[in-house]
Amino acid sequence: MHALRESSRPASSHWAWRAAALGALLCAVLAPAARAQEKLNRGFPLNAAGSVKIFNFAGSIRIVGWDRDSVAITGTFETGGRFFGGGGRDGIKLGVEGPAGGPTPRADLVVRVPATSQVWARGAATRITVEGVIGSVDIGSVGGAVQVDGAPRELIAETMDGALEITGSPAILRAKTATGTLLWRGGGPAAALSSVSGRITTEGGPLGRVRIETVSGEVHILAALRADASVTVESHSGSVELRVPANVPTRVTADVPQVTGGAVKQVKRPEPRVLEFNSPKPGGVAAEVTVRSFKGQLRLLNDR
Amino acid sequence: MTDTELTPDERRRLDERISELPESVEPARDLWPAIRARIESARMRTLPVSPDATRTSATTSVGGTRTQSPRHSRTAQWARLATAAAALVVASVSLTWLALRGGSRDDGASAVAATTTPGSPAITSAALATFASYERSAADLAAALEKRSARLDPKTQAVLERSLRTIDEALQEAREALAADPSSAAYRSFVESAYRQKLDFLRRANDVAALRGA
Amino acid sequence: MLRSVTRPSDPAGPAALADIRAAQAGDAAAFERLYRANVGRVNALALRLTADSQRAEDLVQDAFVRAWEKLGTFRGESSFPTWMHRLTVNAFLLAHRSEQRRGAREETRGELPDSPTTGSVDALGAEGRMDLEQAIARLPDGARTAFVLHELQGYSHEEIAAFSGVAAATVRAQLHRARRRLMEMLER
Repeated sequence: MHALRESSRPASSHWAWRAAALGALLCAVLAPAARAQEKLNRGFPLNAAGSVKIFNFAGSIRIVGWDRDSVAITGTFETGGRFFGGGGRDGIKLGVEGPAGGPTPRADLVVRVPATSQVWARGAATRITVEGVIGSVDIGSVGGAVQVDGAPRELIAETMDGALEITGSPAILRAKTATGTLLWRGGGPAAALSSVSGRITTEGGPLGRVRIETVSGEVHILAALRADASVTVESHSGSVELRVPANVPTRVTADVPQVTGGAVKQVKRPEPRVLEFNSPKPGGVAAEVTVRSFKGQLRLLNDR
Repeated sequence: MTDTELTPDERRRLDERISELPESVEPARDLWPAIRARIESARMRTLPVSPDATRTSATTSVGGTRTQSPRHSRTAQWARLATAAAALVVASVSLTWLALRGGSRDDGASAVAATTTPGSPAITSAALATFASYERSAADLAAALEKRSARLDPKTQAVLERSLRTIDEALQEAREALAADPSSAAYRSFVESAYRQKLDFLRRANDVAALRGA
Repeated sequence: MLRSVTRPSDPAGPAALADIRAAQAGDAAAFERLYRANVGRVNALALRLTADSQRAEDLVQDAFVRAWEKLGTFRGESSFPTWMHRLTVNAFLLAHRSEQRRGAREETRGELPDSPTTGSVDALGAEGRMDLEQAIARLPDGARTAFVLHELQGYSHEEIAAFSGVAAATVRAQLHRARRRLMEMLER
């Protein structure tokens, strides 16, 4: 195409226009992957506690909480897609969709929402990130990564094989993956984490009431525990690693085929074994950790 | 980086490293239960759960030769994985549970006799009824998912299939352990846990498929 | 003709042959014994071909399920481990071609098995052995396949070219690249 322009050396603006048009056509034919993009810049009023529903099947959704009572959407989407958006001050629905039966257009959206709003977002091959929202968040992607920074009042986050990463301490947390990894850097009073085979890791803390469930994924509990923590881990074959806090009286009930670490003796089925650390007083408060696994091992680590 | 041939000395050093590679690396987990489940589910294709189960694969005629759509063969495969266990329960709940103890030489009659020996514990009928209920729910969800599976891209289908397989393997292991020790509350609990995870996953998978059709 | 650098240590002896015959007649317990005797080698091959522990597990399962389905065709002209290796390679290439046709992107994650298995920690041994496994896993897909099939499994350039649907010259180039990349990684 470039050679065409140079060799044609148009003598008149008419020929220059035709050469450029032909060049553009050749580019479109030879480079079909370079689809044209359309820009987006829309806004809707929304009450502070209103709800926002976002659909984007491929690309990315970045959700940012702000202190205005409105929703602003910027970004781009591939030509052939269609932006839709509407609703009222209590609830808005928006997204990008493709023609029925046609290809899924990629869209990269930045959606600013009132920080206290209720946010719901779904995608397929979509990376979803959330920051600065303290209302409720319910997000899910299939193959894209999901990342949440901050402390929503309630957080529900799901992926199938994307990586799920949460940094912060939601009051209520429910996080699920299938094969994707799940990392929670934070703590909170009530959380449920689950996977099928994805690795689950908790860091930071302190953890309050937490339920962790997996079939074959590894579980790493490295977060601090509250003095009254209640952590339950259930796995079928996934191994479990628990960092025992240095200064928190802790009682570990291990219903697993094998426990290793330090001077802990191995546990044989079927009797669950209770292990106590840091001298919990009888009847006193202690962090309770219960690990049940059909055939996964439990490994205890010393807190550094 | 260049792609030039190695010098003889480099070749010798590489060959030494290669010779040190182990011939054998055991898998991180025992894969036999999964393999056996697939072999057995292939055997059980002739046991329909419902009329829909007999139409689990889509075939097309091309020039007089029947070919199977790869997309549908894959979805049919995991649909069979999900419904094979249900087929066991529908056929005969108690005999099926007892038959799981027998390994390759399943002999339902002798297994029944063994567990009806006086003093021998048995899985309670309440527990069996609960498991049958789980199986029916799983079969319903799997059937619903299969109808929507055409909307899913191959990568998502592969993820769903792999996860369902992981869950079914776990369920089979737990069921076998319980069949061998019917009085174990722990094993019963693991079976229930596996069923709950299966139902939860099938519901999530249906949500994913529904989203694609939205 | 297939020549294997990593020669299986147990050619089909009398016990294995008896299990093969029994399995051909439908004895699943006999097939399980064959599985247990051969899964380590099949898994090692699967790990090196896929460079992904999860995909390796899938490949091992696929290989043994195919072995069960095709057991009637095993005539004993090669040893059973050799036959299993060939099935594993075929299953890998079939899956690879299907994924390419579907347009799925292959990720070369370059990971070792997630956790060492009982017994295999010692087998993997000192750091030098781990380095070559890691280095193989970090090769690009085509180079890794060519290296594993040629250097570890003994397939000829022409056989690999026929399997992979590329020219033999391409296979040679991939091998050169693989060897050079491996030496750079191992001796950095």
